[in-house]
Amino acid sequence: MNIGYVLRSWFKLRGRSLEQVSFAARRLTGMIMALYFLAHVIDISTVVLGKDVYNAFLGVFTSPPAILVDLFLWAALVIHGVLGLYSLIVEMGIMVEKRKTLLAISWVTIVLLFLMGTWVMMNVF
Amino acid sequence: MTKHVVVIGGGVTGAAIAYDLAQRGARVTLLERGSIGSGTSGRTHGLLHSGCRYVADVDVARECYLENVTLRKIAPFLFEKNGGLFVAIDESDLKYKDFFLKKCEEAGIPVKELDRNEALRLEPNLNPELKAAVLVPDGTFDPLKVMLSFLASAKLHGADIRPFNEVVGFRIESGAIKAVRVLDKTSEREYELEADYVVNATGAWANKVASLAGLSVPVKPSPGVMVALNARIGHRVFNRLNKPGDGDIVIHQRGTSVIGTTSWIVEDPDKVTIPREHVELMLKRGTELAPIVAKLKVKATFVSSRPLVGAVQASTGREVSRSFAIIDHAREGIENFASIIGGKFTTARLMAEKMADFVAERIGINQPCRTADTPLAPYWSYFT
Amino acid sequence: MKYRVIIRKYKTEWREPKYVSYEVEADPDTSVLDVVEKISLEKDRTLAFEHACHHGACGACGMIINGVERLACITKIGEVARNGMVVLEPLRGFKVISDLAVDKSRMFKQYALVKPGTHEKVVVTVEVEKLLDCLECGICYSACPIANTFEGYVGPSVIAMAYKSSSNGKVPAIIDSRRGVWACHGSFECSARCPVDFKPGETIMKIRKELLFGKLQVV
Repeated sequence: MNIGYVLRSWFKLRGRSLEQVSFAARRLTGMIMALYFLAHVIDISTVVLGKDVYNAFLGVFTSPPAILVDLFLWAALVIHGVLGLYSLIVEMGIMVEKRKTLLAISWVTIVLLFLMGTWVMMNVF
Repeated sequence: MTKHVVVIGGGVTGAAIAYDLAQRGARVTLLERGSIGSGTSGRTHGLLHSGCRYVADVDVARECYLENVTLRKIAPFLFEKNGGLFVAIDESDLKYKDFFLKKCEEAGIPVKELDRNEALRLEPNLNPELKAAVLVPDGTFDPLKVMLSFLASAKLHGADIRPFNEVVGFRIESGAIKAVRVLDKTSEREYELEADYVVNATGAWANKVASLAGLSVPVKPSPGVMVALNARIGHRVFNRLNKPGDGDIVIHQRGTSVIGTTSWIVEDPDKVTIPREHVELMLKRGTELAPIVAKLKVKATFVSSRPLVGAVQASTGREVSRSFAIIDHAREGIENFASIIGGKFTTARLMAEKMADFVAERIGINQPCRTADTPLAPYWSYFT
Repeated sequence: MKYRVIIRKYKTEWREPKYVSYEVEADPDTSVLDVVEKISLEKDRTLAFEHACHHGACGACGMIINGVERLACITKIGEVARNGMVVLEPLRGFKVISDLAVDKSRMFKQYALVKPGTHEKVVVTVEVEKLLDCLECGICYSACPIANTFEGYVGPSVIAMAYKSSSNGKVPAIIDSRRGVWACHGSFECSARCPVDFKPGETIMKIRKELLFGKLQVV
């Protein structure tokens, strides 16, 4: 069993149900945020290299192209968070019979929260 | 030196023979050209016969009933033991009832006549115009799991089970089979397997396999069409109370009901197509027993060939029972080869007992049959 | 109608599987299994595939048809073909014996730990016996993203069978463990693909709820 086999197993989407796709979305966004967190810890720790280096890094991270990266991360956060709540409920055995409705509501919520976050970021930065 | 018996054919007969011989101490290898259940046995109707269908021949019916009881005893986990009903729909059926009840009693099969209302209360989907109903000890099963149970039991006693291994020839020297030539489909390689005795348990294909040794077996492949519906309409088997005919049984198992069957003879069991009229006949006959059939959809239609015994000449074989036959090829010049044909799924264990007695005698094994008293291993242990 | 059936073939000692194409002539109502059987009898004598009952009652013929797990015997070729093409592959998560036949021992090995019964009780006018709907086909294992990658997972069908066939209302301790219900991540693909609607995913969540709220005991 290699990494390719594992990834293909989590992310098989062809002809799959919305629940399987949501599972894959939770996995993917989780992996992205974990990697981002690691990168973030590394870049913040540049503070030990002195004020100039740190400020230079921060400059990169607040420049316009970086906003796109932020939006992308916001999407990952919203997807992972809302689907995580969905998971929490259904995986305790609550609302299992009505889960398809709950899942639909979750995705609508994800889109709404993403749009709201986008508006905030566009207008604040 | 333990004698090596090669059993050709992984249907229920071959599986039961492998089990019986392995239990008696023989070293057994079973060769099946496809997957387990890919032949006739997999496409059986799935009826654990009470024997009542054959009451016209009391000995056959009794034999069937005793095997029914034995199987329930050694593997209760394999069967839905809800019994069955023989239902009279028209006048001709009703006239058959007294003969039927009398013969069941003669055969020693415990049956009970129910009144109309009781029958409809137990099985509300039956035709409300029914004129009589008799409760019989039928049962139903999943054929694949039954075969796997026999094979699991055989493996417990050391048998080597090889699916996807097709027999393509025999090496015959001085009037005996020295080795069987086998094609292993999983590696596309041929190999030779030495054997002290060879059993041909390929049923409808028995003649095809025997001809590889230059012999013939009087088996008549006889297909019959089954129609599976997309719902389950009852708990007890529905039988038509009359002489055996087409489409007079509806069996229920898990979530499906299956109507069967018809019967005709073919030359080659590998070349059978399903005639449309048979499917329509099944649906018509099923509707006569249970009107709800007309409202259901057909989930699948399937066919496989029974190994009917053709004319068995006195010089080439013997019938150990009126329902099946062992053909001893020693009378045709090959001393360690025998074929078994005929029979029903329900009597497989008995067929295996007789065949194992036959083979054991010839390879010097002195053990009696114990399969009627030993619980069968669970089917899932076949895989472990 | 003409169809092109592409089958993933594999024989022992091959380094990699090979996709082989067969041109067939079939009625769109013919089952995929009947088409495969015809190919094995007329065109490719060593094609290895599993089948038994031919009516969706035994679970032998599970395979991946155009990317989705199905029972080949009750799948009509006309319904799944895309531009006249059907790709057949063996189930995932099991070791391939050859071509479309897989070794299901990875699933059946778990039975010894859990010892599921085979029947469930049904009460109509009187109590009758019924074999559990589960065909033990392995399709849920193939569909489950966890079962594919976690060898020790008891698995959706076995967990559901242990629960539904329990004679004393209890389940074996392994069900309430990392290898049992707690390995599930709620993708519900098992229930989506199950050919008999056995609802393994829902059953797993039900067991979790009952364990969390103290309503289910383990043995």
